[in-house]
Amino acid sequence: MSKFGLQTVLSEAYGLEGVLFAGWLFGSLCLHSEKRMRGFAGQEAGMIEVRLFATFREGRKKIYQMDAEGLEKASDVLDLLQIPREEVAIYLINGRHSSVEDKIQDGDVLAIFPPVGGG
Amino acid sequence: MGTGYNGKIARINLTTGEITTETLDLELAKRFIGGRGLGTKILYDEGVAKVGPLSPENKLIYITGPMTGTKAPTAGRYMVVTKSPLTGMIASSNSGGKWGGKLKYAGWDALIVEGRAEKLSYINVEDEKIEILDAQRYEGMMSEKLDEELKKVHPSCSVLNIGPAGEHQALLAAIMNDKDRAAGRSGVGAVMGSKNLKAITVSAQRTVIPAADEEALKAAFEDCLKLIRENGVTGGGLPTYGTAVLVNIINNTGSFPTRNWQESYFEQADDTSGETLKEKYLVKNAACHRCPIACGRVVKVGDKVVGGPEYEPLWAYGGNCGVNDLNAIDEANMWCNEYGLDAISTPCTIAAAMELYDKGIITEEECEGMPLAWGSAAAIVEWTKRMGEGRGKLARLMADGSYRLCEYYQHPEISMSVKKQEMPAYDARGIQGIGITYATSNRGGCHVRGYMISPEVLGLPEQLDRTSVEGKAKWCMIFQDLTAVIDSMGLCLFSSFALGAPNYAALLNAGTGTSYTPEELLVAGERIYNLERLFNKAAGMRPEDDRLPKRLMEEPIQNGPSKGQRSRIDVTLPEYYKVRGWENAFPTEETLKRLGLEA
Ligand code: SF4
Repeated sequence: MSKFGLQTVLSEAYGLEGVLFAGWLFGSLCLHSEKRMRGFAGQEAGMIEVRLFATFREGRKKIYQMDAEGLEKASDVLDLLQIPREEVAIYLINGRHSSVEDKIQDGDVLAIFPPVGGG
Repeated sequence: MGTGYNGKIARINLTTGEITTETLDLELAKRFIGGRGLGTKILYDEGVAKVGPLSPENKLIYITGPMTGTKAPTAGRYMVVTKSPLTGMIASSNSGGKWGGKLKYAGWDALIVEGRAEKLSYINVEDEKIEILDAQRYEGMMSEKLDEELKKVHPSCSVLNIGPAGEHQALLAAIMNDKDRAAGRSGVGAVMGSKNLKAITVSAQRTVIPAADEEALKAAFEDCLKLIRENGVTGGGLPTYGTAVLVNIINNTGSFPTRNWQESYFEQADDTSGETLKEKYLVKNAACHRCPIACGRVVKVGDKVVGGPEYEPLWAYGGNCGVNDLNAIDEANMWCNEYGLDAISTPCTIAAAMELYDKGIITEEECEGMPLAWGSAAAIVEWTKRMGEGRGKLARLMADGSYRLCEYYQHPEISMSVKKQEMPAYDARGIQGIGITYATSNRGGCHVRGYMISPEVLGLPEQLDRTSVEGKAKWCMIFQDLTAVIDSMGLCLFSSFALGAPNYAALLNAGTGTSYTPEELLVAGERIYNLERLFNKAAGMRPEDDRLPKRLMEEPIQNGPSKGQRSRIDVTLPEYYKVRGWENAFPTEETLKRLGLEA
């Protein structure tokens, strides 16, 4: 159901004030769920999830939940975790291959790998 | 001066007991390189495409490449080439370990086995000498035990054998060598079983294969070794974690088929990953003959130390069955090796059976006390054993693969197979190019016939967008052709993470005295790929056999980062035929002429 459709239904039931409130509530819900949809991990809003693999786990945790504030690009995350850029072979934002210079946003899931292969 | 080849093939007729030595046609060998290429050429020319795969008329070719046994890195591979009882088309199953190198050292390029022995037998090769011996006392013996028993009789031998699954001609039966190395796919073990052949032992005095140009081979070898050591994958990722390291990366791209491809992201994948395997179960690494990479895993199962699972069984028993118990996966994988079962198709068939059970099509009663429930660690172990033994009606049906299982229950759409062989561990909805490999692989559902994961996921040699269809047909063709070359030379495909066509040309030319340019070498690979297609055509393949399961086109991925994606094989397949010079799935006259394959 579109937002407009929902407002119409609500205005019939609750009058104008109720509609405005419902519209605000619905809008913020949409935004919130959009944030959550970006990452597939379902973490809290305002956060990003950083997943480390293979040798990057040595001396570090497997998963970090980080406050997205102040983190613009993956390279900021790498600096924070003291991972040299040249050691990163595969870098995924929400499952898509990306560059460490790509922008990140809250809700994102980053997955960072050294060179790996198999078959 | 050598040629990389021994120049000798043994033909062993199990019906008559006759063993003859044939001279290798060196010109033909150089044209089709060896291994997979030459094996296919022999099989095709001898008219095997039209025979019954489990009849005495089928032939089993165990064939090495000109690099097998030489100093080249990863040069320990051999191929089993035959007509597959699973697909009814060409089978060429590759394996490492020590056996291939030993066969070469014994003085043979290939063994061609024909007919059917009256009683269970084995072949013993000791350098020049070849004999057919009685194997009745080994009937029903598990693969590893048989390896040990035969070594008591022939102390310095390397053993190739089938387990109970091959003996009862399960269509998912593998051929095992050196305990845990497998020519796993397309039911080659069933063909061996149909010939009443339990094992082939090989011993050799010699340990060198003379090359055409020793100096040039040494130089090429050193170049390659350097590249392999410096490469992040072959020098770091593979030795440290084995192929299992792929679990997390493929899952994080949302292309990790889960619960028989109903989903494609497995929440608990990390429990079954290479990282976890290393942390909890790894005893040591293992390497095939002359391999500097050593990607093999040795793990602990209970108090046994055995060969560990590759990425494929980790996925197939893990996410694809909804199981996150790594210990159970290690154990089920061990039973595949012991019974001699394909460790990809066996768990994939269990996954299909689980979906049938989940949908109420397979009943509780048919499960005879072990429900085929999603996520059941006990079920993956028990059903592998039942399939290996051929115990019970349902297990026997399953041991012939998911295609026949699902046909039987009138739900063919649940079998995630191509040409009746199960597809491996990468979802072709999330990774578009691998779908072309699956659809057009001459041996049915298979990833190593053109490993598009390399450019589409691993970024080697360059990163492609996995979700795009653009240019993928051409990429796939190049990967398929180069793979045909590597398989024919007797090298391991994993070397190609670090090496390219110029390296392979340098090795081959130095070893055999050929003068292939990298481009000509790719054409040789193309020739082999087209010849396999001709074999399939003669075997009755139809254009519609180049198809992916409907689920990949009609059911978008349900969860995870690739949610909503479908395979675009409708776009890529016609493009692929065009770049190959094929019409309606088969090479045109013009293409055959260009490749020198015209009738
Ligand atoms: S890379 Fe692995 S599979 Fe290939 S030859 Fe080496 S040890 Fe064997």
